[in-house]
Amino acid sequence: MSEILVWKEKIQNLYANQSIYFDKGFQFILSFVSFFLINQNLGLMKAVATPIVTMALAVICTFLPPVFTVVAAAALILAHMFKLSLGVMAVSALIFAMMFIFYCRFTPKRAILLLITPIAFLLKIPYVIPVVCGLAMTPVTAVPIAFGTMVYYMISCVKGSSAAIKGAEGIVGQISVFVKMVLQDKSLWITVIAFVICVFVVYTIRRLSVDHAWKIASAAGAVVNIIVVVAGDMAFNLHTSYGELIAGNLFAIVVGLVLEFILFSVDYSRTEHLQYEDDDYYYYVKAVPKLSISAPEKQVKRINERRNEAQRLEEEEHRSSRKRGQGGSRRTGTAPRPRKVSVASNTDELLLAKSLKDELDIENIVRKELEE
Amino acid sequence: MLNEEKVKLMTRMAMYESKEGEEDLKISAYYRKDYTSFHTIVTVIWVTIGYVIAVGVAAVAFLDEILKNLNMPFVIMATICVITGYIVMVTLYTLVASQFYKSKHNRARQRVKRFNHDLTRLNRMYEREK
Repeated sequence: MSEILVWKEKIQNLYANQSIYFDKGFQFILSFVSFFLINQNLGLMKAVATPIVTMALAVICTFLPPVFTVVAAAALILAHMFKLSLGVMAVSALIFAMMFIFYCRFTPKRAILLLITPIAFLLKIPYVIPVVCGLAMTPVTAVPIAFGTMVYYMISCVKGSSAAIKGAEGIVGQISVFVKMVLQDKSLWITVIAFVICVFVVYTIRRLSVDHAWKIASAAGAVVNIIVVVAGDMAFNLHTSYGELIAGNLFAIVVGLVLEFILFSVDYSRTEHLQYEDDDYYYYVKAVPKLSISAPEKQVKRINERRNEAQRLEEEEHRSSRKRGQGGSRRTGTAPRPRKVSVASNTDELLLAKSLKDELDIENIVRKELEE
Repeated sequence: MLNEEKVKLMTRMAMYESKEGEEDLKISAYYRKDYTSFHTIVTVIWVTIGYVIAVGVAAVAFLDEILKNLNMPFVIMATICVITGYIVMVTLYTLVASQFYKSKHNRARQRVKRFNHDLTRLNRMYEREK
């Protein structure tokens, strides 16, 4: 355990020192994965679905604030939708506008969640998102999670039923088919409800003062996800893959445990309960010590330190002798200050000369130094 | 010779100016009440637009069901539902927005105060150097 804590400390230090590169690296990976998955799953407009465009967009977004990645991803989705139908693109644009109005206006910095949620769906790990958001963020994240889920269902609807949408009569017909497919999909609403409840439950439990609150919160979040999805499945006769549901939630618990280790590693065995009072209140305090081990710092011991010292002395001697030779005639009235030689420094120099006598020919230098 | 204290102060101020400074100065030009009220009204307008879009999209999605049940009681019921939803939504967002913008103004004011304090200190340093 202590070894892992040391590694954690080392990684944190490394990140603290090189955060600018790590941040840009993460941003590039996120942008690239997002654009790649959008192009792979929609890929209707061939001109923008090429790897070069994906790479170029990812590189550009790396050097812009994260919210631009979200905007670029939305624009990419709209471009593919446009290829399918103008009406579908218009409806998708309206849904994106709603996301802006209801969420991005307040916290544009966290708009990245709108992107991460559909990515998690496409990577088959959607249940991780509400658990992580409940553990590390606030309940407000339920809004971008809900919208992100909607974006995923839009993508999956277009991917699976593009022929049906294209086959509909006129723009109005296409809009009608698309909107019905997305918004009348009961599994979308079941997932949204499950995720919203999960965020609230995880957030509430992890803020409790019980021991192992984070572990309980992760597990409770996973259980809530499973119960709500299974209940919805039974009520509306949906066909959810239970294997995927259970595996996804187990993975969410594992991610929750990792997150706890990173953000909230405490030693419950050394918990202290204090009780005291002042004029107005009685206080019941529970103090849980943090688990942290500082990474051992490498100390470089110079084994040739004395040698370096000897070289320095030699150089100094050379310099002073050169000065004496060159600048003797230029000296004016001021007499040179006598050099102070202490007994301690003499002893040091004698020891130095003795230890390096065999290695370097500095005996003469030291003698001259002593003579001065 | 470099004055280390002055360099630190100037770096901190430059960092602040490049990050939040511009927006903070704009925010702190308002009184808190004015700033909060103005932005809450803007939020209400945006929420109204968003709600209209949401109702429009929902109406398209459930067009068949609406047309199938198009009679007076259904229309009245649907209208009541839409208006209730709007009132709930606007109330919720008004409360959230007023709290959000109030705390945003407070934080901006505090940062601007610190910036002004740093500016005064820097000014004093320059005067001492003269």
